[in-house]
Amino acid sequence: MLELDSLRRVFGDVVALDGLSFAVRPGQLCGFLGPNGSGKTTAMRAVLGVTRLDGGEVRWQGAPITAEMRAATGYLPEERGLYAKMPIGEQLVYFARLHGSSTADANVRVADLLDKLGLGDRIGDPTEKLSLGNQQRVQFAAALVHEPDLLVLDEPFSGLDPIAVDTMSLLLREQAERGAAVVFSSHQLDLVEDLCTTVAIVNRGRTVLHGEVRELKGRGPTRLRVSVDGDDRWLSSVPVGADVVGRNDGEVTLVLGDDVDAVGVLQHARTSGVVTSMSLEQPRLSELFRDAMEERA
Amino acid sequence: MRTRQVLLVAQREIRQRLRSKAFVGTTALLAVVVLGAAIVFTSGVGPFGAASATGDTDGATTDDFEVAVVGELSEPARAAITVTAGVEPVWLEVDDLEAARQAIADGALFAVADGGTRLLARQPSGPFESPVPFGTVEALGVAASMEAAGADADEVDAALRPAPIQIETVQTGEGVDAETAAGRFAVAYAGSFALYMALAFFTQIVATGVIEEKGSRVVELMLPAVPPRQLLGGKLLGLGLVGTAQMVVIVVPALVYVLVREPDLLPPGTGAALASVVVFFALGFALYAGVTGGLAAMASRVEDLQAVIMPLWAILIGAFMLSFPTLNAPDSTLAVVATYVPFSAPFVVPVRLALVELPLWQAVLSGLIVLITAGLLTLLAARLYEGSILRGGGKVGYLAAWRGAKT
Repeated sequence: MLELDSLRRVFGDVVALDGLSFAVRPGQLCGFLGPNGSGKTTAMRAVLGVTRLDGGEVRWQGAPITAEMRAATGYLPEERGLYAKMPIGEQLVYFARLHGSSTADANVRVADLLDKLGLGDRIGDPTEKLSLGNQQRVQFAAALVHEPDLLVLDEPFSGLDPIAVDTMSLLLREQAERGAAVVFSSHQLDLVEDLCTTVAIVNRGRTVLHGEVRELKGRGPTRLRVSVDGDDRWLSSVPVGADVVGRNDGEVTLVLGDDVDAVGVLQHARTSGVVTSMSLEQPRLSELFRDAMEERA
Repeated sequence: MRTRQVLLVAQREIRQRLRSKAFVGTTALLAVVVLGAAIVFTSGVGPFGAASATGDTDGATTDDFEVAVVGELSEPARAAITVTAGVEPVWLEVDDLEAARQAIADGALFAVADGGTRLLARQPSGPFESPVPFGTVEALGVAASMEAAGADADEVDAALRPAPIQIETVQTGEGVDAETAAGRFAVAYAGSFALYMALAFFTQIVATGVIEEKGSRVVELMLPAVPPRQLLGGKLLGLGLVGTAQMVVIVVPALVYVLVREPDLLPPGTGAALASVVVFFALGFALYAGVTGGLAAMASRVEDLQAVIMPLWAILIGAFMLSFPTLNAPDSTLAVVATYVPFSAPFVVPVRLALVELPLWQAVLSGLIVLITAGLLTLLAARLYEGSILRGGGKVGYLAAWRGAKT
């Protein structure tokens, strides 16, 4: 298990990490969320040992993370970079071997990965001949070519087309199923919601929300959407704890408090007319994210 | 030490160089040029070839030549010109200066007027050439004085003809052996120049390699797997091996050619001198390239590179310049001191080995000094490298780089 425990890092007057903590288990895909400048990149670089910490500790399997473990970690840095003139296949084999793979394993995996990423026929081309999107795929491949136990990816999906996003999501899921602990940062909250089992939401260097996506959503307030063929009189007498948060084309959205019974609210609605549609929804991750940011602010 | 990673990095650098058509092409071209120079050298046409040993390069002695004479010219004066040139010219008696100028334009070597007190000559062919055969003016002066004193042409001829005096060199154990001087100077010149070119070229490659990795940010991907020192070390090892191999490839064909064709032409000590060029390339590379790697990391873009490595380049060029006084006086105090100064030793030692019988222990001691200095400086440079390789956005200062290790 990867544990980030009370990480602290100060750059001059700027506190980049202010006690940031969360954990990722093997087999878990953890979405690492937060607004720009909230400390995500610094935290990831601290995991890789690329930046030093002023306090706190990164642990792997219960012990402080070692240089050997860092060397074996798959890493996609925020700032992308590959050798421009080196053929992509040779380059990926090189990275795999630097991370400890044998040449034979590396060759097999590189061919397989490039095929999956749709770059099988470009294996001999130098990086500079590829489009930026394709370079991004190669960069992604460089992080997982040695089948690491830990994957740390900074914004792996930024700048990719939807097809590439699907391909890479699939590959990441495979890595987690294989047993790797995967953590990646993203601003694409819907994607994270679909892909990740856990999330860590940070703001100003601190963790503001962390846990399993399902559990967090279950904890959040339920939303009820109701359309009634009649007037809005019933809204004036909804139970305490149910707040109207939106009206759109005859559909009313209410946020229900923990102790509010949805069926009771529906019965109120029926006093005004026939209920033509209704749905009970858990909050979207994007809503949890906004709530978390507002609480902090 | 993560030897495996260092070797992988070194291997990549080597493959990268060998893949470059420009690098392979340049190496092949240089090998051909050096081989060509060796062929010219052994055929005796070059400045150090057998032809120069005869000493007569004025060109005036070999064929018939014409000298125009305006008005009267005494026999003693004619004798003086003949002795100086070594052969009697064809005398063209002309009427006036205008005719003399025309005669020169038509091929006469020079013209004599006013009874030998005025010479007209064509423009010399080069900045160091004399317009009239060397010694003509002095000989005419002597002839005029002797004639005034009553001497005739035969007496002038006898007076001006060189006496059969032999010069013998005494072997004192110092200075350059005269018998083999030409060959020794050739080896020393070529060796120190090749060394300088190779060092300048490969330190430049190290600098651009470092800045490319930093600029393209690929270094952030590398660093978790390969710590900064190993990354720099692998780069230096790989490029050092390529550089050494390149020197061998350039020098060996020419050397083999000379050995097969004219084994006697090579002065004693050539083998040691050439071997020392290769050895001191490796040492000089360790010294200069290691520091270059550290300094280059302090720049963020190629544009900043010149500014950060300039101090080192000034030292490199200054050290190379020291090989010129050493060529002139290989046993001078300056040369001896420069042998033990690590920055100048790589240039001075091969030159001294080629020119004089430098005791082996002195060369070895000098090499050790370079090696130890290179090791210490590379460690310092590695710290600068570590402290600045991930810092972007402009030039990193020395202090920031030094303190920034592990930032």
